[in-house]
Amino acid sequence: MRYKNTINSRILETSIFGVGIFLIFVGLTSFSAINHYLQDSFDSNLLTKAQVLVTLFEEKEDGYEFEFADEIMPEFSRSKNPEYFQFWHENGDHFEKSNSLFDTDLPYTEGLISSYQFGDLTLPNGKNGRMVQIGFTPHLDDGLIASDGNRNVENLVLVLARDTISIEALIDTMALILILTVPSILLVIAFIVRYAVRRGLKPLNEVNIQLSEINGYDLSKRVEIKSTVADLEGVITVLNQVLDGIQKSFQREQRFSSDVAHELRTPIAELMNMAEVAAKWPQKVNHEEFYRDALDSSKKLHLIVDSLLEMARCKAGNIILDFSQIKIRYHLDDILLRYEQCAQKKRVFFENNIDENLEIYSSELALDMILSNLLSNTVEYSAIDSHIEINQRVEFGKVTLSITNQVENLDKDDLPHMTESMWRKDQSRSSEDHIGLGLTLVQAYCDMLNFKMNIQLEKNRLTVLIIGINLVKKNSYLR
Amino acid sequence: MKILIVEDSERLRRSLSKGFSELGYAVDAAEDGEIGLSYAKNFEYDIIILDIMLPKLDGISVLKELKDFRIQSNIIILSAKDRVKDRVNGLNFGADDYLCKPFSFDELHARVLTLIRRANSIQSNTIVIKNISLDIQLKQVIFRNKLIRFTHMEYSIFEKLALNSNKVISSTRLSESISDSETFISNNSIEVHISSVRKKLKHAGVDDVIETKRNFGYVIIK
Repeated sequence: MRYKNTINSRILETSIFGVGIFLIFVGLTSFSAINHYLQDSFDSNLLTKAQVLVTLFEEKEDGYEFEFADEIMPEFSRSKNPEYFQFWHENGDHFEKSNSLFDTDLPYTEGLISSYQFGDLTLPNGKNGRMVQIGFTPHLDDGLIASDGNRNVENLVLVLARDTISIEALIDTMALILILTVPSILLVIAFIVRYAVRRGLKPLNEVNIQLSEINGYDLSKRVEIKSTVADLEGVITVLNQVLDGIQKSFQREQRFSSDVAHELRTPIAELMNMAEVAAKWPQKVNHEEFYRDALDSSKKLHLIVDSLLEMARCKAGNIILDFSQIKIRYHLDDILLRYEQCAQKKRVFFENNIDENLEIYSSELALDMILSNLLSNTVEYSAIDSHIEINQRVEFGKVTLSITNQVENLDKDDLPHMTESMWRKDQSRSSEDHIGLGLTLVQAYCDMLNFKMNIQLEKNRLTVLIIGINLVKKNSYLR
Repeated sequence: MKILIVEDSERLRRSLSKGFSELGYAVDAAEDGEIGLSYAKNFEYDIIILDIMLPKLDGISVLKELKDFRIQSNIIILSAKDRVKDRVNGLNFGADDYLCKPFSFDELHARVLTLIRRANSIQSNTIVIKNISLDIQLKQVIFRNKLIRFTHMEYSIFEKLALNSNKVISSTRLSESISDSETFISNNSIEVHISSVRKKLKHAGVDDVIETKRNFGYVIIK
């Protein structure tokens, strides 16, 4: 099965690894402590027993007396797991030993007289055992003390040994328990963690599944989870907001591409068909009309390509602006002249209320683009027999220009779309002179000059406000 | 054959009208959806070439109205909208074909011919009636490898009768189907053209294939 790097597996691995290390550490520490405790207890018992045996030893006038009886301590004579003892003189000669030793001896370490020492050994029956060697001075018989208090006392040595089968079995059992317990606990923890992680991550999995269903073909789906998980609420809200943004942006892009395609395809289709028909029936085509039509189609293509390039330059910031003092009234009059003929055809009249003395400091090129696009639009979309007002307002050293015209068939819902690339109220996109980039370009130039553009619609009167134009410092309006 | 072109681009409308007129079709042209719908409801067209993005009434609304009105004409959508969704939408609303702009005039003509063949249940561009071959693409009539030279009007009348063989077509219907909405061809004029067709056929050695059904019209019996 292929390994998957998932949150689930990461939490599981980390938990198992962490708990595993902890358990092994605790197990080994506990094992070591218990092992030592058992060894110490065993040694302590062995020493106690040795000391008991020592108390049974008494020096009498006629020699040493060892008041030991196998009946009282049968462990030294039994055949199964017997214990062993052996007494030595200081010079290494032994003189008393347990029946269990038969003709064998326990090991004896010379020089250890006043202390004791533990050690491991192999018992005469071949089993592992532990021994204690203790040096002692035997009790003197009461009579002997009384008669000769300054008697030279001989030190004796006792070696006591017993097998370690029981303690070894206990330690082995303990080790086995530890060895079995650690993986068992880890297994249980793995199940618990896995269940907990799955349960915990269920809402996240739901989000994951729902997200995987969202693609470029259908961006309308949103993430919704049945169980309310506080941790994910914020994430899902933000995710859905991002999806809203992506969908809107994608729709804008699709509409833009579709609109550009339409704008380009129609004049290309015109040129192709005119050329084909002219080539098939060259004698029957009105050449003057054909050339004029071809020129018009080419001009339309030129307008589209120019506008798109201008738009691209604006967005890329590739336009260099030179700033100068501009008498805006005269500049506006120049622009109005360009559209006067079109305006007269529709009986639309200009009302230029800009003060002759108003001087601003701005880029003439950008300002020309802004005003000419706005005025071209207002002339194109003004109602017949209406007028276009151009007004000014000066506040805090800044000028606001407003252009107001009478429009038809425009709703307040249309206002947010008006600056979108290629947007046109007329869905048929039949206008020859406009392709829906005018206000987008105005917005782009306003952004470059830090102007704010505001569009308002009141009772079929559309007002475009250009806010934040800088006045020339020596301007009379500043006095 | 009569064609209606509903297209808001004046230049495209003009060049298509010119092209199809030169090919021998009777052509009407409308600049917006409302005019186009009015033409389609008032005259009988073999083919309607319909743009989608039209002023006043969009192409899809025109299409729906035509279907509601049970107009029998074959409809080709001609649009700059090239997305699959748009094409499927257009065809689902009852269009018989969908052609994206820009397009070749020859391709559009080929599609027009396909729809004519489909509408008249014929397999190829050539119809054979009593050894007379009529090529609806080249607009020519051949008998025993000899071209019979018809005038534009004569050919149109013969083609209409040939495509509707075994059906009696009245003079009025013949007149309507071979002229655009601005041209009027009287019944007498139709009679004169029929007479001329008969003479040319006889001259080529063909027996009279056009029968006159007095007070009803004319018919070609296969």
